[in-house]
Amino acid sequence: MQTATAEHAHVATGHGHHGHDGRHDHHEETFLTKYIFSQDHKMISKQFLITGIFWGVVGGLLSILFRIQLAFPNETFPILETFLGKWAEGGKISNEFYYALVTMHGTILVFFVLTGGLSGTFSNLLIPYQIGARDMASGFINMLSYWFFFTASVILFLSFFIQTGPASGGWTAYPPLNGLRDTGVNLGSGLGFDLWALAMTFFIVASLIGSLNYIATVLNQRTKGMTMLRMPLTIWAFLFTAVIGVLSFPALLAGVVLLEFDRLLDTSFYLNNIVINGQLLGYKGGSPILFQHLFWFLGHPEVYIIIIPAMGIVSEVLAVHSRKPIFGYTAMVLSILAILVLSFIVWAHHMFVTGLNPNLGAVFTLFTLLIAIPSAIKVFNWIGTLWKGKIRLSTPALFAIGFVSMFITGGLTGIALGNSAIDIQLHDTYFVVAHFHVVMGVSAFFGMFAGVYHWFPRLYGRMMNETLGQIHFYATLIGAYCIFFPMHFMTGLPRRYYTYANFDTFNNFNHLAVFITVAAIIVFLAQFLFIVNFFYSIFKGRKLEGEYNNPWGGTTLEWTAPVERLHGNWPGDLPVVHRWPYDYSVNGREYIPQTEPMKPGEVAHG
Amino acid sequence: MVAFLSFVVVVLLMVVLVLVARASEITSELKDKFDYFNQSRLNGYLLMVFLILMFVGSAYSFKELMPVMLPKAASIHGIQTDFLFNITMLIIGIVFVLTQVALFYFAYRYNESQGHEAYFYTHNNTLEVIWTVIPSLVLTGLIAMGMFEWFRIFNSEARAADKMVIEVTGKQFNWILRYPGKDNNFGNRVFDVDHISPTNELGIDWEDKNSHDDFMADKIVLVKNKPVLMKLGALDVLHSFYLPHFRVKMDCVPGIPTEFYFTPTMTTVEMQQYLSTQPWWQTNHPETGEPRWKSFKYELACAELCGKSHYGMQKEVLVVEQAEYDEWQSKQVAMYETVKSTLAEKPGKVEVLEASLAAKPSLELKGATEVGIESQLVAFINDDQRAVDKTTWFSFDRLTFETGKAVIKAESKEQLDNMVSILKTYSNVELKVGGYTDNVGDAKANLKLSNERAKAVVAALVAEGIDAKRLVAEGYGQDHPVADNKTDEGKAKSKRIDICVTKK
Repeated sequence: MQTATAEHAHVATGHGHHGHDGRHDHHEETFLTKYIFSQDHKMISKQFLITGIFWGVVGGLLSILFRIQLAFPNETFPILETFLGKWAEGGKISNEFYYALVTMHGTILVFFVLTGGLSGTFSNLLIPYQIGARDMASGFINMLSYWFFFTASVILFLSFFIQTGPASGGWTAYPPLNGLRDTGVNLGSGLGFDLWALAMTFFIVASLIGSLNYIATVLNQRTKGMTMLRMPLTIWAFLFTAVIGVLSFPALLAGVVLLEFDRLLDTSFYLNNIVINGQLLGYKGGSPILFQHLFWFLGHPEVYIIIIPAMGIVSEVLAVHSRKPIFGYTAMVLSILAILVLSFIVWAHHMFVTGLNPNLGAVFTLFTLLIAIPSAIKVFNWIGTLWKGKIRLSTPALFAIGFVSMFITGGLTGIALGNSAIDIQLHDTYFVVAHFHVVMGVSAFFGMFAGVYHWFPRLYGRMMNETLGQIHFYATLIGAYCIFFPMHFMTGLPRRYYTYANFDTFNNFNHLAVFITVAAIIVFLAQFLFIVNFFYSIFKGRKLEGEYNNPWGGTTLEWTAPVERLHGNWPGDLPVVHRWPYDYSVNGREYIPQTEPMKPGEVAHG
Repeated sequence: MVAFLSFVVVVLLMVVLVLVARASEITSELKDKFDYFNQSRLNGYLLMVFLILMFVGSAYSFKELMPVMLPKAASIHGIQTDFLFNITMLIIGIVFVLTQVALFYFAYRYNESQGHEAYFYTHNNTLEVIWTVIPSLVLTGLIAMGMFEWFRIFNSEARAADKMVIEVTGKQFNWILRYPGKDNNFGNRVFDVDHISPTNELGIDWEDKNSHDDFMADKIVLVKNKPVLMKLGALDVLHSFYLPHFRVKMDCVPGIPTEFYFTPTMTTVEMQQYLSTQPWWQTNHPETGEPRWKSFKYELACAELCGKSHYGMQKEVLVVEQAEYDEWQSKQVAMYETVKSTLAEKPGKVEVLEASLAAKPSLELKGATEVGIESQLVAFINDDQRAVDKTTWFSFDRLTFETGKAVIKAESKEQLDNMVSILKTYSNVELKVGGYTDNVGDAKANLKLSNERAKAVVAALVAEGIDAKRLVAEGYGQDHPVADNKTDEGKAKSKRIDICVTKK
């Protein structure tokens, strides 16, 4: 690895001075254009990441608050009233606020952290770097994408501070609970939901223009020699993620807009024969189920929007740190493609017990369980990559391994849930909560952490602290299993309950709720190890030495750019690609960068 | 204090961790490089320890938590879906163990400290085919079994002719349970303003003779081994009809009927007897102090978020033998019997409207006088000529507080109860409650007191079931005297609580 600097020498030689590219002229950058309204993909990536971290803390904190209620339904905590005021009168979180907490926790984590924070960060950072482009196809649209995301964030955050509180009808926003604005069916369905809908609209715009940019960049901006099949799996993942986003987010936008029509203009897209306090309201002919179809037409692909980037990151990190090619590159690409296609025809498995036509339920069972096949292929290939590797168990590698473990655990329970006959009982119970938190919540976080620890040197030219990173890993891995593994036994316990005191049937797990809450608090606190490490390392982390530095010995193009983050990424000409990205431990070499020409007689892979 | 101390401890702990980590980093910097090699060795061992811990933890969870889970299914299809669930869990349990072992063992076995070179191995098509085909076959089996059961549950052609039918309608936050009575036929429901009213939320058409023996009950009573068709619906928002012990769940959707057909297989007593043989159920219930199985009951719950009291939609479900059911049914009073006096001779549309008006719980205002707030308020609400404005206020005349405090005296109860009746009858009406004082004492303190008193009145009304959203409280202090503050009589008049109708 000490040879990294030397190996890059040839990249820099022979290019003469800068400036074939007009964008590369050194115009004066102000603080505003460099750090705030930046059009540079690297800065936008950091903006997404730091906004994501902020939301991660907020979303996590909300979960701690409602976990406290679940574990100690009969206790009071005066400190809660100090901070939350009327939402925790007498030191006890009110039921209305409890539902606001779970609603906002879901919205924030799914969209603002694991979509914006994860895909936004790494698509922005890696797409131009790894395909050898100076920047995104449109830097300006890329900047807009972040600022739409930022606006969405501000609106959503403000909704916490209004009189009636934030949306509280579930992150899935089902009408009629969320569709009746002024009837008093739900406190959070007033202004709080309008702000939620507005924030989501901005978010969807951000996601759409961002995704179009990613697709355009990957398809058009690849450097010489970077054929599609020479792209690292990260890029495949980001490309497919963007495609899913472009095709599915509009459905949610339509769904939410029609919902606001019902709310504000008294239309009846989703409402029919509503009776409140014995008064028949004037809505006729709508269907609440229509909204669910529109919502889940995005909602299900959304979980793949979250998990596929993590899969890409993990594939790359595992290969680099195992010093071994990813096992079955083509199978990996094809399996993401299969997931992409299938992700659009499984949405109604969220609706098995809505009164759906049983024939439709059967079809969706079939496709849902089929999606286990490409997922299984990916898992076997990751394990195959570790096999006979020379694995450096650094923090990124540990998180990547943790990802695979979590993805297995969470993915397998999907086989039970996806089977409609079994789902009748499991639907909307803690078994579901356990399943999706493990498979797309914790897993995606592990993928994100693997990515941050791995590419931090690319982002900031410094290393993160390994020791702290590894403590963070073990605390999170053990803690996350402690939180979610026991939930698999709560197969009959309905989710979204403020307390179980009204039922004899559901009072058997009270001791376990305390255990889970304690574990959740520990895991939440452990994340501050990451945050401290992250911000500390930005300023004080171990510096990468030399002009070029490739700390993990990666073959991909981002490590051929100088440590200093230049606008335009490479000082001279763009690098030229001669081989696939997984030449590790081959031909007597530890690794061969993609920029190195093939020697006579060498066999091309991939 | 405890919270603060734990916070301090946590912060200190984190500071220590950061310092330790920083120290190790500095050491490695002195050595010029982070010692990944030895760290990989350590992490290899730690991952193996984790793997073992994970299996020990899983095994312990099974031992501790399996007995606490729901008891065996009490319906024909539930036994089948439980079987399917168990098979699936068994298969995925095996895969879980194999893959986790492979993952963590490889991470340990092939970490860089083991002194070997990585093996350049890009792909193996045979392997890929194997691990595509095997999962596909297993999944095909699971899908086939699942679909077979799924279609059996929802096969509407194979339903018994002598099934029971019960109609369950969800509303915030309760279940309305309607039984068809002896004729086993429900009266029609009509969704229009002529039929739906606070006393007839379901919109039952009383002219339909079938409705005359329909009855409501506060629990679901089923007959062992007798199929039952649950006809499900909702009035306001989505609910979900969930019978955990019978493995039954189906959403209740406003405007769209849904249903679920199943057959209970164990009476409540039989389930109790079965549970009396289970170790965990023999332990004592913390509240009753008796063995848990004795207080076992089947329950109905809501499984779709339906608002702030979603968690409170509980009803008991009782499974009995046919004879016991017949006896229970014979004791139920048909709804029609309780409402027919208000319907009797009013067939026309106008009359029906009048009937619905008359059906409003007649206002029984205790001790109200003609000049009292009750009469004034009702007159105002009923008078279409008088619009809602900000200047029309009515004063409470029988509402008193403890001196200098915002505590309502018990003697005020009658008038407050009257207000509650009025608000319940006129469910559209919204009020602003204003508090006022005389000019004795500090103006700021007066303002505060008037505010608190207004709030106390609102709280008293809310406590009686009035939606807090219909009420606003505000204190106005001493700024709006209604009489001369120089006389004691005037002062007494100025100390008051007024109301203003903001919507009617």
